[in-house]
Amino acid sequence: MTHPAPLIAVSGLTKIYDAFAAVNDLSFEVHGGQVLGLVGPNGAGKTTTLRCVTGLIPATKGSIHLAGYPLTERDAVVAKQQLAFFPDEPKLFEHLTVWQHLVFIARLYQVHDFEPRAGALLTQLELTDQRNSLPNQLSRGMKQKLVLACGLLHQPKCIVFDEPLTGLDPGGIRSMKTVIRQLAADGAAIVLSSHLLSLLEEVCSHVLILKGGVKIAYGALDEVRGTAASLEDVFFQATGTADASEPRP
Amino acid sequence: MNPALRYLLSTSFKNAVRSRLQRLREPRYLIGAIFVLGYLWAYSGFRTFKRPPGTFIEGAGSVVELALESAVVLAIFLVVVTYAWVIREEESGLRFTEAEIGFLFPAPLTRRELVRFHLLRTEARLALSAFAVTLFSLRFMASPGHALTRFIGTWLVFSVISFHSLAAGFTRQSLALRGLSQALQRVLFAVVMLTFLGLSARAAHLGERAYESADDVAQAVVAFTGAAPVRWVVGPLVAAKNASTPTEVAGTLLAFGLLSLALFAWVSRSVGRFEEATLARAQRVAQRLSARKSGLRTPTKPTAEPFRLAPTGPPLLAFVWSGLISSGRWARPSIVLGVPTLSLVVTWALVSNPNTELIGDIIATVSLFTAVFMTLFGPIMARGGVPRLFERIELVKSLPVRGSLVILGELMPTVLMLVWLQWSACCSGLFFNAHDTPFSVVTGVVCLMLFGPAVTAFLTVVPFGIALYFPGWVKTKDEGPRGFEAIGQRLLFRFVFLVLLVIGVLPASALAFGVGFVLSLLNVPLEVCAVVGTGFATLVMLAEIGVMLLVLGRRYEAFDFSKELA
Repeated sequence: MTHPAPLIAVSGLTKIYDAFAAVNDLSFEVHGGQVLGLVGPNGAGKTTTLRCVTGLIPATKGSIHLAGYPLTERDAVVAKQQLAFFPDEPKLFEHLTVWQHLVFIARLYQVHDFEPRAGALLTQLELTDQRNSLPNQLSRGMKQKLVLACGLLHQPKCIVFDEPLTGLDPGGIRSMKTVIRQLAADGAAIVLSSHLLSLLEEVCSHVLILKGGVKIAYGALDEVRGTAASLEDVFFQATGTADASEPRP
Repeated sequence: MNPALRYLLSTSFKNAVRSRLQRLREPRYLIGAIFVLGYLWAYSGFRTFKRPPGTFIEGAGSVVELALESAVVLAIFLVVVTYAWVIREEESGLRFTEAEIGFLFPAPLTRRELVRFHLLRTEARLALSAFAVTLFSLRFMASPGHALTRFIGTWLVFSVISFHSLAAGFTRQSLALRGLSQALQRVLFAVVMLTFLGLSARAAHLGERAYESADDVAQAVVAFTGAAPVRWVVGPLVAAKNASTPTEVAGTLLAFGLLSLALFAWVSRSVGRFEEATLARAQRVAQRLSARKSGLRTPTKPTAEPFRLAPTGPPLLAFVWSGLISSGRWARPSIVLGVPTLSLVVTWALVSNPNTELIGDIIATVSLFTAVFMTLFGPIMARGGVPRLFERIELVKSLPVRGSLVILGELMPTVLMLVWLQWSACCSGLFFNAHDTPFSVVTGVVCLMLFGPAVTAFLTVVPFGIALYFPGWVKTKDEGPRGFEAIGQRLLFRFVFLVLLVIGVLPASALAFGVGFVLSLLNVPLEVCAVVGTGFATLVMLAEIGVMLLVLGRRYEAFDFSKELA
């Protein structure tokens, strides 16, 4: 049986700031339908990894392929055509309305005949009534939904979430989880960075634990979890960080 | 330009204009806008835009003028070049908002497209700056020339400086990637500049000249700037500045236009890696903004308490205590008492000694002018309390404190600092003209020390009034001044300051003169009349401040920040 090529392939990724290696020789792959949870204590290199994978910053060494295209200067445009990035804070253009954001994204990603899809996304995310609103008239949850609509408009194959549940209400959290599962079921490769280990256990198929810029555990969720009771136990064992719930001597 | 980026710019611009026009439905903004337009029409160089072309600035006349002009042009050139090639950080990043980074950086756009987007947006900003500079510079020029030409010229000069700075950054980055370290680059730059200046100095025989008069120095400067290779830079720039005929002006604009295009092409071709520095820059701005919004400052180390705050007592003291901590390290007893004492003792010592009397006189004169300047313009310069009030309004509004007290608490640290500076300057100013009419000067300075703080406090309240009634015009975001409103805000500030100062001071002055006059009829010495009269004037000013605080306090209590600061 032959495995299809991974949609996100990172090999030997290294990012050095002056003499400090934020990420060191990191490799991982995410196939279509998989959700990779990226976890690690603060300063582990998660944000740097996400930024390199999404092309926000260039890597010092190593290669990144998105949907088979290398994220190099020459092919970055084609590679990024398949990408969507959802940052933890929804940052929007203050002078564009909800609908104008979608028009802008459609032009940016060359989404022909985008209107029915944009309309459907607004309906699905319950933003139809805010179609002509400016960002300062939206709640935080609505802004998050608009960022989601913008990211999904061009039907990306490679999706990166950074702390997707930040600031969402219970309804928003449930919707977000459903969206992530649905995207994976539709064949997208997803990388999800979060400190919420319970979220990762719920939606991720694979886990990558980072510490000090180095990979310390990587594989399918069940493999990584092994015989441990929860991912939380695995996390504290693997990273060697203190578990606040443990009584101190 | 990429159609999506064009759409972003044009739609954002249209929506921004529309939302600002919609804001004019509110009468206070409409009045403000009319005021700004009226001011521009009446007092700035706005009308000169309609003047026919033909008159341009005359060329420099005497050797001294020519030398000064050439020296200034050379100095500007050296500053611009040195900043771009030595001082500016190699990777200082481009100015992108967080939204632009979030949407555009992961999007299928080339680095070159992003840089061009940045450049074109910068051009729009530079055009606005050039317009403002032209508008206000025309008013002060004896021979303003054709305003449109001046505007285009200013814009082109700004563009050249901006493009050059960016191109230099990318080139330095490229050189660094090829192994030429920053230190080596700086050494290389120093060698080039020293050779550049040295060759001209040698050709102008600077070392062999006698410098006995101002004319000698001026002739040396003219010879230096007129010798190659400095002449190659200064000559065209001076000629451009003094272009007087339409042909010369057209030639100058064409030359600067071509230079801009060449630099634009240079930047486009030498696009370097700007993402990390841009990201870091945007994050710094966002963190600062977020810190401000949450009422937190980002000090590098804790500031000592100015005094120990008791857990019980008037809440005003808590505001003052917190404001003094935020305002810096000056509010310590040793500094508060030490600076005026030092100012007094040093000036007295200098004035008392015949050898140093002149220096003492100069220091006393400058100090007195500083004290007067601080009284009138200190509140305009130190408007720190207003943004602070808005930045932590959510926190402060939840406190069980009256609005007037909140405003008083917010303005007190600023007033205390200004008064401290005034008094420190006055301590030295007491010795102004000490040997001729010492007593009347001392009386005047004492009056200033009495009345000055009241005027300062009065003028410090004004920005709070403007901020509470025109919140949209107060800078609460860390994004720099924004176009029309920013200009309007500054103009309105100055106008309102002037009007309120006159209104506030008139009754106080009338009372002071009345009291002084009555006392003089009773044969009270003139100095005593002046001090007592000033004391009464100060009381009137303080009463006026009290009334203003009550009114503004009520406005603050009814202030809907969710609507006004949206």
